[in-house]
Amino acid sequence: MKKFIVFFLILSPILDLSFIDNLSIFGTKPLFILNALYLFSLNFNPYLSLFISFLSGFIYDIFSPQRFGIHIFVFTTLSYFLILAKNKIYWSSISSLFFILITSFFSRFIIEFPFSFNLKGILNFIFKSLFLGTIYNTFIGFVSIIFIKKKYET
Amino acid sequence: MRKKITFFYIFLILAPSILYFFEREKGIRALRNISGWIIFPAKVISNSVSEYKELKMKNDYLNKKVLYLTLQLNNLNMFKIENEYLKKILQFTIEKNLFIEPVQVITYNEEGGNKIYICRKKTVNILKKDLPVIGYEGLIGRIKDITKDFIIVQSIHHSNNFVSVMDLRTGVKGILKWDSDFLIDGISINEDVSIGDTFVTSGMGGIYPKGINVGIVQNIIREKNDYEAKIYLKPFEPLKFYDELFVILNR
Repeated sequence: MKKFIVFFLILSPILDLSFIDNLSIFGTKPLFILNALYLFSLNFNPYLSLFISFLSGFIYDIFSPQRFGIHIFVFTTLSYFLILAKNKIYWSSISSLFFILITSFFSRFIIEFPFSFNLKGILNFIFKSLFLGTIYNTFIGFVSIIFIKKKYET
Repeated sequence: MRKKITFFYIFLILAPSILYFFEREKGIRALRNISGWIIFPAKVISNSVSEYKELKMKNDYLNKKVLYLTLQLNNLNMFKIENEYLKKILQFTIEKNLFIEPVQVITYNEEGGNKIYICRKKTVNILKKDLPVIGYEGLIGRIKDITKDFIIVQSIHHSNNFVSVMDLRTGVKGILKWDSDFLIDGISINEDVSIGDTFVTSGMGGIYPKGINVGIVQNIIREKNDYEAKIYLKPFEPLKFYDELFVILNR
């Protein structure tokens, strides 16, 4: 499992920061780390998953040109909420989809919010990056959660 | 348990602020520089993949374009073959370069309404019999005879001089002859010829090259019992004395 964590911590930023351009649909890219965090928070020990979220956030902060600490805050908070909601949501139902949608939306909102306030940039951010990206992430997240849960149940 | 998790969460959230508290901006910058070097190979691979995809798209587009152009080329080749075949049927010939030799008019004679120009040769051994002669406006006639110093030009105002002519507008062909007036033979009453049409040489007689102005249709008589229409032509070069004429040399 440790090997898997290390592999995940190295692979996901590389995947998200370099290869993601080749997986974009209508110019929108998924954030694989969010989906990976769902899986970690739902399947692993809460402390460990919080720590992994912190570490992945730290790595993302190093790699990204944004203000240091944003990724740590978003990933750790997401992981914390997932841990809290872990036993309250039936993950194979449609309610999980709603939960993923909301969390993806806010996560992407904080991470990708453009601090240069030009109208074109904000509209592009809202309609293209935020909504489409959230739907993209929700779809991937939902599929992966169902897959993991089924595997977990069997 | 939940409280412990919450404390741990708050601790993790506040951890990055320690960096700011101790003014470690330089450290963060150094980390980012190192990360740039770490991610560089992945970026190179990613860019290569993007470039490959782009080139593939461009290649597909160019392949389609090549196919389209090949089809178009085939069509054009077919048209070319058809064009050559039609040219062969209609006896089209490639125009040779025409060279003009001026001759000085000495006098002109009339023999029973037929007109002959007598001109002085300027150069020796260039002019030959049956070469066409033109004026500034249009066709004059052809060389009938050559002596040592002079040439005799048989004008189109001569009953023995027949010119194959063509309507410039419709391409209708006929033979121009002089019978105290210019008349075009061989054009049926149904052909599309109207007053004011320009007639030029058709190049079919073998003497006159194609496209020399001959005259304008002045009058047309179409009688019901006749097969041919009577077309009267007004020549571009009327009966008068010219200072000089030009012989067309086919080289």
